[in-house]
Amino acid sequence: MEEKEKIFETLKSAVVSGDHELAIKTAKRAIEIGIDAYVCIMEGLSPGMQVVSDKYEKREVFVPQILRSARAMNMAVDILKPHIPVSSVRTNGKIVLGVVAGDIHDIGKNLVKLLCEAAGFDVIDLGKDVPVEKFVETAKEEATDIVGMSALMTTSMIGMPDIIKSLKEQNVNCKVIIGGGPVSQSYADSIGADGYAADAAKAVKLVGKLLGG
Amino acid sequence: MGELTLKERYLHILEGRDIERPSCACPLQTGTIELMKKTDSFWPQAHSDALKMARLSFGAWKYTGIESARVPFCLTVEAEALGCTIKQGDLISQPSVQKHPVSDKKSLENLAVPNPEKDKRMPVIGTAVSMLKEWTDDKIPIIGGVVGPFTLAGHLRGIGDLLLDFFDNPGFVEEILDFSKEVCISFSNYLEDQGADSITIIDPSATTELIGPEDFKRLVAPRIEDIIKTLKTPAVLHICGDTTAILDAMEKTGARGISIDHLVDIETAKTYLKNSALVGNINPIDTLMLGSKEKIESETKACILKGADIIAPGCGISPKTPTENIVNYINVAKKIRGKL
Repeated sequence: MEEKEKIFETLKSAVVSGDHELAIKTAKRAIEIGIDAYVCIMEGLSPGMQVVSDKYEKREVFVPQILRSARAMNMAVDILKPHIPVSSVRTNGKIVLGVVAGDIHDIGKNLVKLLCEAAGFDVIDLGKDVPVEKFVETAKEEATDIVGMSALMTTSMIGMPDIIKSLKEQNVNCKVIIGGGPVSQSYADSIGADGYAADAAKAVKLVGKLLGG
Repeated sequence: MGELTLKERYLHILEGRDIERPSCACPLQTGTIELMKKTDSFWPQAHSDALKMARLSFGAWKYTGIESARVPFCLTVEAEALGCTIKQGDLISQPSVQKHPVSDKKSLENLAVPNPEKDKRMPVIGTAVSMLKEWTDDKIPIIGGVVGPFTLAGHLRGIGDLLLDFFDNPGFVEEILDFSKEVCISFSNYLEDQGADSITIIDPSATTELIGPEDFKRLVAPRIEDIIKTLKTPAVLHICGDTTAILDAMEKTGARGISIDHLVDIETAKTYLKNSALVGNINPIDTLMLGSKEKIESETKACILKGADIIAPGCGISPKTPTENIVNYINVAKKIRGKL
């Protein structure tokens, strides 16, 4: 195997096993020997995160393992990023994500962000407890392809229809997807959302599908 | 023998003595906007004013027929008493934890188990329990809700950091959980002393959406068992999400009632539960808040026919739920119960 291939494989397995020390070491080595940093992300780190995502979908691993893998990936990305010329980055689409107002449970949203970024989407993260206007303004300004919102409480999810209504009123042309514990496909249908995903792994697939990828 | 009081029925069901006829108690949050108006007790004040809290809780029985009175309406009482920064919330949103005080071992060591008679809102909940006890003449079950050890640990440490600690500092996870357990023991015992007839332990972060069944069995279940051992009244344990894989472990904690989310199938759940009562599991949003009369009726019937022992929503009632819808499910449940 070529050294380049070996580096990609090592980055991938470092992400899968959540070994951030190995991920950092390998990323540094990649830069040292002049491998394209962007390709390292797309051929090494990203497929590693995909493996973790698939395992989570099958409930072979759980959120602690995803967070550990994401940390390894992000630490390697931090090393690689300064070496990526802006022109070589292709994005598969732009997504605005946030947890709706009144809700601070952001772990699911963070997982969606991690997996979407790993899959090559550009994510604007509005954080948690996000007011309606913030979603709409950002979607407008950033000309985003998708707005994703989540709620973990039966008390906070009822703010979702307001966001959809406001996006429509202001003619913001984007798809809306929702997720979170109390939310369901039929709730998504009832409020006019374009999609629902039961977990972060399914959310990435949904995003890909909606953007025709 | 005369007709059982609602309290007796609830306790009999949890004690496994009368599981022929279901109860319509609700061990989870019952505050809705309509009930706040009827009782003139609004969030957020009703989270920190004992009289308002008791009135809103009593209103659920008085105006909808829910066969219990349950306090509090949020999951932040213990966290606040331990120094977490709390956002008050408003009419429709519950208080939430904003900042987590435990950043390292030292900050954990600096925390002490709160005194429930004195610290922050803990005595408010206790006072509300004793008011309810008096108003209901001991005929309706008074349910005290406490936050389970894993969720409290997440409030203290921040759930993301707590989950990474699984790998980076597993001993620290155990220490935070042990401390959280002590808080849970102290607060639930206090609520019993104030007159609670049953304790609901809610541990939403211990869901299998977040941690695997192995971690639940290793880290969470034994501590919940320790808490329940100290209780004089029967406990109900609620965990959100699809808990099918941990139902047996939930029962082994000694909880007399296992409260399930609408994602869990009752018939499947029954095969895992040997001697505890099953609580649930009407879909709180699609059915109870938004569903048609027919949908509410058919789902309530299904819950009873599949064998739920306490007919309740699968999660806390959402504040925008119409009173009419709650009345609807309670009436259907009572009607079927009459025939059993």
